[in-house]
Amino acid sequence: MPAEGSGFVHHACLYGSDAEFLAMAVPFVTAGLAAGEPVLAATTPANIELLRQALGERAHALDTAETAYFGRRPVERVTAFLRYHDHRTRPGRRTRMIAEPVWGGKSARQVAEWKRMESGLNVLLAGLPVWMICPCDTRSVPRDVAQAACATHPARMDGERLIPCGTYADPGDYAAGVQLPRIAVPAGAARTGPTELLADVRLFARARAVAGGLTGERLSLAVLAVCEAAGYLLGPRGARVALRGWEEPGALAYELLRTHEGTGGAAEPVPVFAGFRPPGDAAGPEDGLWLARSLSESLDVQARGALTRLTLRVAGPGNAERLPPPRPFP
Amino acid sequence: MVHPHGVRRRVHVGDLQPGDHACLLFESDEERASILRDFVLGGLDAEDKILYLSGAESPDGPGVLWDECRITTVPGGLADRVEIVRLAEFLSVTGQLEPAALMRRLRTAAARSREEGYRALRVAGDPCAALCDDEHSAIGGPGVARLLRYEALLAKEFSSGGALAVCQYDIRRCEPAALDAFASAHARSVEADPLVRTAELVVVRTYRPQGLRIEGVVDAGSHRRLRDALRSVAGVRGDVRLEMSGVEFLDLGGLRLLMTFARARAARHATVELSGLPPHLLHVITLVGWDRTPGLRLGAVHAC
Repeated sequence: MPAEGSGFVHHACLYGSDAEFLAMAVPFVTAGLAAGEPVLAATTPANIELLRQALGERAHALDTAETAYFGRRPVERVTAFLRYHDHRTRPGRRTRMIAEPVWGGKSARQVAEWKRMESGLNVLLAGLPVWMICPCDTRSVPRDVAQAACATHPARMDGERLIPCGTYADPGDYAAGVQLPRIAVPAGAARTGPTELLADVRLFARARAVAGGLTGERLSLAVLAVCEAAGYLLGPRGARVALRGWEEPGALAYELLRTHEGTGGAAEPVPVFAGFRPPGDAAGPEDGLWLARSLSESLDVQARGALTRLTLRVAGPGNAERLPPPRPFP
Repeated sequence: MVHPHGVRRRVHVGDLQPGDHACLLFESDEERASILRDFVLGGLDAEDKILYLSGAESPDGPGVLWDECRITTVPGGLADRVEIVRLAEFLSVTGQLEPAALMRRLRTAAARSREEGYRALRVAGDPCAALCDDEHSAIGGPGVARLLRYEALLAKEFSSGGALAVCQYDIRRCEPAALDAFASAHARSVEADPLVRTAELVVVRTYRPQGLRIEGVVDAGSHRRLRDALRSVAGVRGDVRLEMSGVEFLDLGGLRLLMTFARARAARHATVELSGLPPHLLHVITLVGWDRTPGLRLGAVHAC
C-alpha cells in the first residue's frame, strides 16, 4: 500500500457503496495492525459495524470512535486527532486513522469551517507520523463536499490504489477562498474601545453576556472566551481592540476589531490555522486562541489591510445542549 | 473549635487601626512570627509605641521580641519605641493572673505613649503565657475565666482608639472550648498582610492549611505577581492548598502557573489542592487535560 515517509499523509476516499468503503478500509486497517501500528476508525456507526464484521477477530485490536462524537467542531476535531496520537503513539511506528467527517445536516457555515479544517490538517498535523484517510460517502454528501475532498487532500485512495488529486490546493490559499456566510452586525450593537486594556474587554464581555441572559458557569466561560481571544489579538505591541456585541437567535456574538497604533507598523496577520492545537507542556502564543475557539460555537478571523476582525459566538441561554443538571437536594 | 477565618471579621495585620482588638490564632511559630513581625514593623511606620507582653521570666530587653518575630536586622529607631512587660508581674501569690492590675498597667502605658507624641500604643502578646508554666499542658480550666475577664477589659479600654492589640493564642496549646471562648472575645481575627494587593488581585498567605488565598482577577497583567506569590510557598513542607473561591477571573496563563506549581510540588512528593474552584475553571482544566497534572488535587468546587 502507498504512503511512505514519516510525516503526515492525508488522503481522501470517495466511496459510493459499502463494498467500496471496505475495499479501502480493510486493507488499510489490516496492514496497520499487522505492522503493530495504532489504528483508529472514526466513522459512522454503520461503517464501524461493517468494518468489524469484515475484520473478524482482528477487530479487537481496532480503536473506534463514532465520528459525530469525535470532535463536534473543527477545533475539537483537531484536538481529538492530536490526543489520540499522543495516547496511542508507539516509538518508531506510524499511526493510522480513518476519519470520516459528518457532513449531513450541517449549516452552510459549518460546512465551510469543516472544509477549511480538512485543508488545515495538512498544516496542523504536518510532521506527525500519521496516515489519515478521510472517507467521503458520495451517496449522501453534496457534490461540493466531494469536490472539496479533492482540493483538501493531496491524493485519494480508490481501494488500494493511490490517485493524486489534481485540484489539491495550498491550504492557506484554499482556506482564504472558502467564504463563510457574511455576518451582519446590527446597527444597535453595543460597542466599546478601541482599548488595549484587558479589564475593559472583560467588563464589556461580562455586561453583554449578562444582558444576553447568561448566568453562572456559562457566563464565566463566555467572558473567558472573549478575553482569551482579545488577549491573543493584543499580543503585539501597540495593538488595540474595538469590541461590538449583539444577540442572535441561540447565540451571543462578539466582534473584536484589532487596530494597530505606534511606529512599529501593523501587527503580523493572524495565521490562518492559528489556535487549533491544544496547549502543550510549554506555553504557546496560540494557547488562548485555542481556548477561545474551544469555548465558542464559532470563531472566525479575517484580515483586511492593517485590520484584523475576529468574530466569535458563544451559546446563548436558549442552547439546551449545555443546560446544567438540576441541583441535587433542592 | 472556632475556625480562625470563621464568623469574625478578618483583618490584615497592616490594616489594623487604633481601637482594634484582634486575635491571632496560630498553629505554627512561623505563622505567629510572620504576623507579629508585620505588626511590630507596622508600628514603626505608623508612629506607634509598641508594648510586648512577654511570658519570659526575665526578659532581656527587646531581644525577646526580635526572637519571637524572627527579626534579624532591627530597623533604626525601632528598639527605642519598644517596651517589654513581663506577664509574671501581674500574677497573684497563688499564681493567678490579675486582670485589673494588668489593665491598669496598659492604661498607663497608653497614656504615656500619647504624651510622648506617639499616635497610639500597639500591644501584642500571648496571654496564655500567664496561665501555665508547663508549655506541654493544654490551656483550659479556671484560669480561662480570668483571661476572658482581661480580654473584656482590654476590649472596652481600647475601643476609645488610643491603642490597638493583637492577642496571640496557640491553637496547639488551647483546649477547644477555651480557644472558642478566647476567639469570641475579639471582634476581629488578624491574618498576614497580602503578598499581593492591587486594585484587582489579592493573594494572602494562609497557614491552616498552608497555602494561599487568591481573590479577584488574574490576567496577563498579574501573572508575574501570582508567580511570585506561588514562589513564596514553594518551600513549604507537605501539601499546599490554594483557596480559590474568591477568584473572579483567571485566564489560561494563570491556570498554567498553578499547574506548573503543582508539577513542581509533585516532584517533592507533595500535592497542591485547588479548593473552592469556580465550576467554569474546573471545566477549563478538564478541557485542556490539566486535571491529570501530577501533584494536582481538585478540591470542592465553589457553588455559583
